[in-house]
Amino acid sequence: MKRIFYMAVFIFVILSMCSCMLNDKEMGNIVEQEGSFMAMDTVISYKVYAPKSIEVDQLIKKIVLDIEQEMSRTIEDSALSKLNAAAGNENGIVLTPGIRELLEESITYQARSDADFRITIYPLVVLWDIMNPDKGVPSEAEIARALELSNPGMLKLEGDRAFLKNAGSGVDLGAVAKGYAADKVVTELEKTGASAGLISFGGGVSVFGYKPGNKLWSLGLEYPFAEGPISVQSYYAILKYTDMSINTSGVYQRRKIIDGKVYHHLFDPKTGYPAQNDLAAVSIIDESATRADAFSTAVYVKGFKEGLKLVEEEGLEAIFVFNDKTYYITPGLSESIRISNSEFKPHETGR
Amino acid sequence: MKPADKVIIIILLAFLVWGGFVYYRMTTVEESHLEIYKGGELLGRYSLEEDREIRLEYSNQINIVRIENGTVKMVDANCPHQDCLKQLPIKFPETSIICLPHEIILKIVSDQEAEVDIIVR
Repeated sequence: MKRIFYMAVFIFVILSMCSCMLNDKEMGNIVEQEGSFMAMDTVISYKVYAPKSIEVDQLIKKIVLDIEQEMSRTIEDSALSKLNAAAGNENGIVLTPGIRELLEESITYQARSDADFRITIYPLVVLWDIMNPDKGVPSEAEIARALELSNPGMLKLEGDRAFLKNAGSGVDLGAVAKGYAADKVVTELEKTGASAGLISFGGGVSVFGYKPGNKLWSLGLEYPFAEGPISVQSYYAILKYTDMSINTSGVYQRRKIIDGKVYHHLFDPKTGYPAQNDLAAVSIIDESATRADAFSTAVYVKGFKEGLKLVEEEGLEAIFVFNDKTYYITPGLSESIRISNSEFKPHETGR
Repeated sequence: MKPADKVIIIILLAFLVWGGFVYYRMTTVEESHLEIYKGGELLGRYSLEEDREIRLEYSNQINIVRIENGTVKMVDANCPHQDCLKQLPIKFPETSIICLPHEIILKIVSDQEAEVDIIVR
């Protein structure tokens, strides 16, 4: 009988030690580090499970601020501003490796989206100046001229040089720079031994790894209508996912109203006017945040039918929300998403 | 068997029961709610803490839902086959009771589910 007792005690002790060791392995010296700061014209927030010795805040800020300094259209001495200032100069300018990498990547997305995602849209963006409430609607002649200057053929890359053909043409990386930064942040965080993390640029969120307890990240998709009590309808759906990026293009935030008409920041580069369709928002999900950024813009501009075609061709996942509060979710997401707002109904796709 | 052995066995058993209880608490008892849907539309969210009966009546389609000791069951309905009355009571997140003819879904939803890490704008 005594032997049974000693055995039992022995097993008990071993088991408790095992469970302690498992706990240590799970969290170890990994701590949750959380914070937010302003950069790239938005609030950037993060939650990362990383080794104690890693200063996550410093690491993220360094990456983001370096990219902003390189790729901002509004910072005067940014590498991008220098490129735009050299428009029309036949010698072009020598690119920094970062900007070259992003330009090359962007040009492939531009080609694959039939240039509905377009980095040479700069003249139109400057002309409309959508965030400036004092600026009215441009004249048709102004728009026609800006359209010409926004042609994708305006930009040429040759080796480490870039050329902008005409004075007044230019490059705007606003639609992809945040995604590019998010991809870099995730890569660097993973190198530090971080077990999981989330970084948000507002409209774009990237997540990797599993939270303690093997949990997926849980992302709320914002209620994409300007009206209504936002406090109770802060999100309409919950997406549970990891190792991916989501980017939403919606027209309920960056916009202005002139003579009762809404003008937003997602331009149709073929008409020169803000894209007109029945979509309130499009969210694109992909492993690459840069790709999700580029294609969420292109898909919004294309509208549902053409946009969905592009999503399927590119092997992306997407959530479309229509102005009548109906939604369409690509089949690959159906297990990961839950519509939490009962106002939202499935969209009749007619196919 | 000596009396001391019995005491030890009882102590070990007590440990086992306690361990099982802690494990049960850690893994299963989460804060959760009942959500009731009709035709895909959310009719309401109800706490599982409070015992109550909920009567759903829509143009002569009647279902009565009972929340008792943290579990939910359909206790009465005037649907043709009354399949919903035969379904087991539900308690854990993501389990449900469905009344097909009346398009009623009773679903347990974890509050964890409602909490999001971030909102994508």
